[in-house]
Amino acid sequence: VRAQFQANRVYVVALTREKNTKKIVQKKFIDEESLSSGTYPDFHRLIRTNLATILNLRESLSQNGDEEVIPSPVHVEGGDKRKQRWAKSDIASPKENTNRYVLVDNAALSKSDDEFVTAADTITLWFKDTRFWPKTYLFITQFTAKAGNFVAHSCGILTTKLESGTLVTDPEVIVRQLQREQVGKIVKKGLVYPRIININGKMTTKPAFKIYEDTSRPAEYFYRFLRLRYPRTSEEIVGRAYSKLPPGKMSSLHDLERKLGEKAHLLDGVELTGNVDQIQFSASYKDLKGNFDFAEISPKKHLILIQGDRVEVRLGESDLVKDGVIRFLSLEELIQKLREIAGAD
Amino acid sequence: LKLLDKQLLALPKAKRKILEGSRIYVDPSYAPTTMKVKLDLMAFLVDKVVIYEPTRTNLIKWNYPQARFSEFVKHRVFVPLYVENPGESDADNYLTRKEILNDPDFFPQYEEAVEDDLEDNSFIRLVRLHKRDPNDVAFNVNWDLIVAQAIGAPILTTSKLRSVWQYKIGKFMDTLEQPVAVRHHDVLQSFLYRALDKLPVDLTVEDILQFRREKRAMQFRNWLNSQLQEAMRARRILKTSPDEELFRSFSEVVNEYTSKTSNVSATLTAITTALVALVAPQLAPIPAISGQYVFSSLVKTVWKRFGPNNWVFMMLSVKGHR
Repeated sequence: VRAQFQANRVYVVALTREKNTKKIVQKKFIDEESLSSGTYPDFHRLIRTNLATILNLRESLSQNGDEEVIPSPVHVEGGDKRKQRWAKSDIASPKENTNRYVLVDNAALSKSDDEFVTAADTITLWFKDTRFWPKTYLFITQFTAKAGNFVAHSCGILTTKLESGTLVTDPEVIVRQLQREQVGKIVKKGLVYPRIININGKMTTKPAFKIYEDTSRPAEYFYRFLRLRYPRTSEEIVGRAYSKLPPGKMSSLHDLERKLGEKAHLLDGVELTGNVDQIQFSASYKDLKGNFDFAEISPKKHLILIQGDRVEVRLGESDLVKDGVIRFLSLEELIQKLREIAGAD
Repeated sequence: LKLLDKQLLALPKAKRKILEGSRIYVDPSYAPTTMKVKLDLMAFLVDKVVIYEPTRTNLIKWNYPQARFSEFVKHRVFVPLYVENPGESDADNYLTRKEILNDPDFFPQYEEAVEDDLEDNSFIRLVRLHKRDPNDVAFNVNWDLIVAQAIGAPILTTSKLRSVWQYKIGKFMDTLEQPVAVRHHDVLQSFLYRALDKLPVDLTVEDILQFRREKRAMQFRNWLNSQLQEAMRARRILKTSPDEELFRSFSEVVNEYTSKTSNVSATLTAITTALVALVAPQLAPIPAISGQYVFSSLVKTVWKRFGPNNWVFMMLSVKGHR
């Protein structure tokens, strides 16, 4: 269903950390009038693009240990279509013993500026207690999504890091900072509340959070600050999906990706572990696919070739490669070595 | 050496006195359980012990009695240093980071240094080897380095994180050749080791204050201060022959106080030897322009304001204390 988006209020917060002290450096409240009168056109666009994109993303639901990905029930104008093509967002419910989402609900339903700022202030304090980047912006937004007679009074929380420069609260300067750093239109993490759902063609809302992160592995702290249930990891989802595939039908990683279907993209966030006799290794799926070659000389003789730019072999805090203790074979020596291994069998 | 130096001139007038003399910077939270003994020992060796965030909660964590701590602060032996103004009444007796370095001078470089570490896989791996959170270590170590540099103080820290500190210094030094002074740091180290090995623990605040007023103890602190200053300036090689006469004199006063303790109270009779391993007063002179490392412009800023200093690291592991 096509929906219209309108940002009503935004609370801009700049956070940093000094030694063990987490600090709110600056705060700024932007009211509806400033947003609608075009005082901060670029900032308004940034907020709108990000929240619209999250609203439009496919939704990943964990049900009975499986992941189900469904299309978004709404489509809001102004979202980033490139992002929408591959990204998805997790749906998280509040934990039973928390009422933190009530305050997010308050922020969504606030009728006055004061009400909104009070709720946003507390949400900021919760966020401050969690982990964040050295220089972090937090945007707490009250917005509405409308589709016909249906109106979802919502709260969006976006956060991103500033790579360089000084934290400010002038919205237009923030946008310039983010653009300069090519952070792009999409912030690093964001969530919207409540979740919009479509039941038999009827739009309604549910007290749940739609969460987007610019990483393949969800950051636990981003769920913890609102006491939300943490989604299952890519390993768990892919591992379970793989265990259900019929054995013996795949002979390559390409086959694996094909069989996993829409879950294949989760492989990017998966860490694989292995061993050769007692020698253990671990690698991301991407690295294993691109940089590892496996060879079987005989049933009891196996080789793994690993390619890479840099090699380190740690003994305590020292690097034996850097120290020259471990010597690299020349290509000729390597070939000779392989011949010996193969020949000796 | 007890006169105002360049570091102190940069401080607000009212705060200069609290840093006068030899000083050492310590954040006890790196090794909270062993800090009580270490802080007291430092009171024998330097004029001012600059201590990071000795809040009520932290003092409990460090098992350091609040009243004893306040006494040392009142007598300006301990100098509390806070990130933010704690709003306490005795403002003349503590320092804040802003008083040492203002936000525009401090934050850009601090944040850059933290980010640099958090993007450095070797740093992260090294920290994790010590079962610490890389975030916490990066935010802490860089702060300590900057602030200690600004106040011209050696850093007293736990030997458990020695490799992390050494790695940081290695990043500074990069491929530059270590000056001769670095190779001779063990001379001062072994000398201090002998002194620390004899120091009594469990003296009252008054005993320690009285000890500090002894001429021989003052001479020792002055000598130690001069050695640290030389090491930090790294202008020339550290003296390779510690003054044996001074050490003998210092030992005498230590012995007097050790026996005095046994008479003071039955509870203080057993003097546990604080076996202190001065693992490495890592004399790491920073090159005038410290190359690629992100601290370089901060170092220049700090040096411009405070004059060039080279860090001296003392890493203590106290064993056998009660």
